Amino acid sequence: MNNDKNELNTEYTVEALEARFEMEAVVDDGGAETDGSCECKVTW
Amino acid sequence: MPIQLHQNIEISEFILTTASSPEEKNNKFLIQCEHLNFVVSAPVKSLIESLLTYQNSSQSLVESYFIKTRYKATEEDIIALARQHIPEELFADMELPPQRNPFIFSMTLLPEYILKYLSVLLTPLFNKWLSAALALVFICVHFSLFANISHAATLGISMSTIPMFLLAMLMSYFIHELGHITACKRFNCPHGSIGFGIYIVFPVFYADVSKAWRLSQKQRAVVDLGGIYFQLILLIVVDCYAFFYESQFAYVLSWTITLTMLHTLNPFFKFDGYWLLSDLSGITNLHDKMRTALNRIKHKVFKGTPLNFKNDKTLYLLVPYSLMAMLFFTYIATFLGSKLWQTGQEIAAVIFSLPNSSLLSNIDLMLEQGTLLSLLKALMWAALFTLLLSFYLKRIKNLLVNNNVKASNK
Repeated sequence: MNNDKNELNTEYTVEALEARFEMEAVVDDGGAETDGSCECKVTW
Repeated sequence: MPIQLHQNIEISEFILTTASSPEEKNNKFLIQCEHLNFVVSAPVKSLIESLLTYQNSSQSLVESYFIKTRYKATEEDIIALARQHIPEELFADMELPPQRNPFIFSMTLLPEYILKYLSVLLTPLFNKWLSAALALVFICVHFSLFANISHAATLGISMSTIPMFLLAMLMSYFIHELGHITACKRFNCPHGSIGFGIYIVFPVFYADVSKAWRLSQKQRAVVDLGGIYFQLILLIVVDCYAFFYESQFAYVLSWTITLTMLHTLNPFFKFDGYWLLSDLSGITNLHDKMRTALNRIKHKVFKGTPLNFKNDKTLYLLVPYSLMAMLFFTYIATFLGSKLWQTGQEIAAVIFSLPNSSLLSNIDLMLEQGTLLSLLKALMWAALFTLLLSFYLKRIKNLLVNNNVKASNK
């Protein structure tokens, strides 16, 4: 058993997966400005 | 009973269609327990199955382990193996940890029990032919109107329509998240809620699709693109309205939605582009592995240590991705640094233009000249740029200094 166990040990892998949160950031293109300027920016 | 696992553990195959070898393709399994997800090798899966069979039947642990693995082992050995290799969160004597999320702050807007009724109604939209037809219509409509849309964006909208515009954008974000949820439902996969949160420094809307790990790579990619697909349908409506009613408001809305769609494809943050790249390539935990890759590149450059990646796919995808991410974060940090410098100069110019040495004694004068507001505005921007710059510098440092030895061995 010991030999078997050692052999098997090398194959024992575990990877915790990250939580899946599909996100979309709130982006503003400055379209509300009325002075004719167009500034593309991300609102933080 | 000497050892016990949580009862609600679900085991399924973790199919990697992009696996480079048959061993990699057929030897991975997904273990799900509530919100927790693990990819394990066949021996770990057999161990878990043996324990679950032992818990739920009259079989002894030795028997159930032998049936699953064809290895004879004593109960003590099996328990020792289980304690060593099965994630401790899966043991019944451990309380399940709360779900880890990437947000500084988050709040649920629409819970799962409401969304499940809504998503059922929308699943026909994921019909293969219908989605292809809608994508084609979108390409024709949006690109033919793109000159009008980009021109309208330079003109903006009137102040009075701003509340309506914000409401329309909120709806667009919601529709995007609904797209992810509906895609999950389309593949009969349970989904979570839709919410709002702060991710790093970004206000974001999110959909919890953590159970989607049980889907195939292709299906997960559909879930990733579900948000953009729903916004694309929304854009067909908005574009048509803008065209037929010559609506400046609708054109600007179309421009802004297009921008958010492009922004979400950024693969360096955990937006849709990140998940899409991860799912299409089959490289899980992309950000963690990026740190490992950068660490190995650093050792290769400075010490000549071989890169030693598990396979060529990881090498050819992860290395360019990691280097590009590094360049991206460096570019943003440089941009913020230059903005901070510029703002600092503006603040200095205002202060040095004042006649008296004490700032307080100049307040009246500044109020008269209207410079106080500009100064406060500049100070606010400076504080924001400093905050963001420190964040990006910290991120770059974290990428370069990898303390995660365990991860680097994977």
